[in-house]
Amino acid sequence: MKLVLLHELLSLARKLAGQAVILGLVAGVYGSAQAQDLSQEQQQERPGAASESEKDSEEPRASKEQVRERDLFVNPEAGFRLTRAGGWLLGVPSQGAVALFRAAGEPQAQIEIRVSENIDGEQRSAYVSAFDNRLLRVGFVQVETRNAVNYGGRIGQEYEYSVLSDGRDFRLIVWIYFREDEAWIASGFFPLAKREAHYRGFQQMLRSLEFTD
Amino acid sequence: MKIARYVLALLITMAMSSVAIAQDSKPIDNEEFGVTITPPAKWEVTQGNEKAVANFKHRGSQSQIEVVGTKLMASDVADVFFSTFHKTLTESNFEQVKQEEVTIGSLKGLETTYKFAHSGVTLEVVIFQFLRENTAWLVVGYMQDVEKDKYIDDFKAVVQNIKFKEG
Repeated sequence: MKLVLLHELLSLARKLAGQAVILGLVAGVYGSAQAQDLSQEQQQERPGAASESEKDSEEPRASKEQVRERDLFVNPEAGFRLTRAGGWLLGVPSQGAVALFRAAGEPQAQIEIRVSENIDGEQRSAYVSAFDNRLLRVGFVQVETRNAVNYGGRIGQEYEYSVLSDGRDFRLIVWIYFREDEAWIASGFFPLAKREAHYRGFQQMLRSLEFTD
Repeated sequence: MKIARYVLALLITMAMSSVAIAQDSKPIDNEEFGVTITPPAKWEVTQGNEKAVANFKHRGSQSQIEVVGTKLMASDVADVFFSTFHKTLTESNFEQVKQEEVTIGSLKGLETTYKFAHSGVTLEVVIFQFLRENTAWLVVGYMQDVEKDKYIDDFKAVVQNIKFKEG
């Protein structure tokens, strides 16, 4: 009995470590260029809690509003907010990220938002192709490109990649949206088996995204 | 009597196949990374994580060692890679018990030990990480906590015997 448990635990530990490598790789790809220049303070402050002024606003009157307030994610420094989808928990963003959410009970499924600055109009297509090349070079396979994907009136490009880890197929969905000289990159990383459910959460959060600056 | 003979023959066959596996555990040459990785004595080469350059398993204890090389875009994103790797483990209920800079053989790196427990069984997961050129290397040992002392030297031997081709 203990041997079976040991075998299962070893298998689980190896699977989790394998997925941690993939997430490290994705972070490394994002971590290049401007994303690394974001200040350390930004990560350490753990953005996400509503600001004091927002907390002091009127007491919610209805349960629907209570839910909305509880799920509101605000990052005043990066200048945006969104409503967290059900089943997604707030995580601590990696270096260069401005928001991180993890699926409840499934830490390997994550949705992350990053911002790269100083990308003017002429640099946009080069930025996207460099980003795509980096993912391809580290073993991701692009399975789909979706043009003009509209989330809440913001139109961006969406790319879907496949990657294997310990025999399991994972999907990385990346939506890139340019706003003035910034590239906003939202990425969802999910096991293929749960891709549909998690993609709905990804879409729901991006539809609710609002810029506050 | 026939059954006893059959069992004896089976045991001899198993013992011989075990010897054969041990003999098959030759060093692994990987052209892509320009590296040779040698399994410790009494460990067998197994199929495992496809991202790993080498996977070894100790037949008796089920302890495992894997060596993972990850080509990064540039060496300056290594910190992001390694920190995300460790953060993900911590968020997956790996409990970090120790982290220190160590030199094993000619390789200088960071060694981190985690405990990973479930249903009364606890694993110790020992990770030695280092960066060489643009490749982030992770040597990961998985062993039951009560057996760690027996196999930690084998883990270190794997690190010590990693040979990179020059140029």
